[in-house]
Amino acid sequence: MKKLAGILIMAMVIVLATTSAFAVTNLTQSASVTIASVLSIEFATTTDSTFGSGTIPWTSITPDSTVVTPTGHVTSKPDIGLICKYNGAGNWYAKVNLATTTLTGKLSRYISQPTNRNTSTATNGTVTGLDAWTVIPALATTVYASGTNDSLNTPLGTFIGVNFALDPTGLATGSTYTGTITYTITTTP
Amino acid sequence: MKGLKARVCRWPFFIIDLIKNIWYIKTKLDRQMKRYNKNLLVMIYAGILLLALFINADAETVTQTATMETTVTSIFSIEFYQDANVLYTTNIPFTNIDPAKSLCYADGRSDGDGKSDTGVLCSSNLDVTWYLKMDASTSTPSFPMANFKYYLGQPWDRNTNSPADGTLAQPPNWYSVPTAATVIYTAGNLDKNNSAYGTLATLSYAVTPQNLYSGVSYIINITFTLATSP
Repeated sequence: MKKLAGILIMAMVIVLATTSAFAVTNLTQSASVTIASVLSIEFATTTDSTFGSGTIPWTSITPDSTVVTPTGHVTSKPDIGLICKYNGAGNWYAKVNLATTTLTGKLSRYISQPTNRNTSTATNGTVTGLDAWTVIPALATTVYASGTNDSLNTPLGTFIGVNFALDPTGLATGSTYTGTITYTITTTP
Repeated sequence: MKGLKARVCRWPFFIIDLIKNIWYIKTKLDRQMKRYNKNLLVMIYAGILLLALFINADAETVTQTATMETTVTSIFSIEFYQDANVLYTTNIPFTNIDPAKSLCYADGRSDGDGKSDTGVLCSSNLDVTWYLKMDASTSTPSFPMANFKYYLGQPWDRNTNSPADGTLAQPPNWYSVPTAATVIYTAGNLDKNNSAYGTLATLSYAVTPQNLYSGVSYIINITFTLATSP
């Protein structure tokens, strides 16, 4: 009886040992990733702005105000949109200046808080003269400094909407005035 | 002189004795040879007779039995597969990927090119269901693992030269590679025992460049696990 019990116990041990074992084997590989550098600024299309990359017109304006919006201006979208992209370390800065001989001090810009297009949320960067009419200077001057949530903003970038207003005071009727607005993105303030 | 004359006179008798002895030996040998040849012939005849008896014994059926014994080595393995359409094994390069794109492929790849980045060949003759698992980690902490994606279609049974009968964990699509070992394929009833040629799973990878810095070399480590438990 003892011998039989011993044999049974041995059989159970063998069966248990066999069923508790399982096989595992591994294989490894790696992926190496590098990203091309980007620091770019481009105009938004007319889907997201009124004038796209084209000329901003003031046509036959009446000089009854010091803040005259462009001809065709709408409130549902900005006059122009800037899409700024950067994937380096540190902040980036958007700058604007006006090159003109006849409109110096006459053209103003209005910028609200930009949007991170990757997240569709407001950025936490700094707008110089936020939500206020600010005269565009002749020298490139920072209008926006990126924040912690949009300094690295690829692939879609940060959207900065800009509206313009003209102060026609002192401008002669029957004359055509032109100026060139330059937008710059840089990594230095 | 007397002795010499005597010796000369005995010569013919010596020769005669010699001839007699030779003839005697020959005769004796002849008898012995005849006996020897006879014995040899008897033995040969007996041998032929025995051989004939042996061959003809039970002429209707001749059987031979032999016992064959073989053992089959257990196979449970995973290895890389590579051919003209399966490009990479131990390293998959994403070099200077375009940060303006939403999904970037490995070097030399483009959408719909009919290729795969890597092939994993799973072999088992244990005759139990096996599971292919996958996970990834990074040695560059700033890499968001959600940005590293994989695409796995139905694996291929190389024995039947047809789609394997197992089950993908998810329908073919781009998914972030899991960060813990997760089953991506479960063997079917046919390919759970898939020796000699195994089941081939081919995968492609992609990177979303969002939140990735230029000037940094990111490394992602991918582990495939073949297991008999999920």
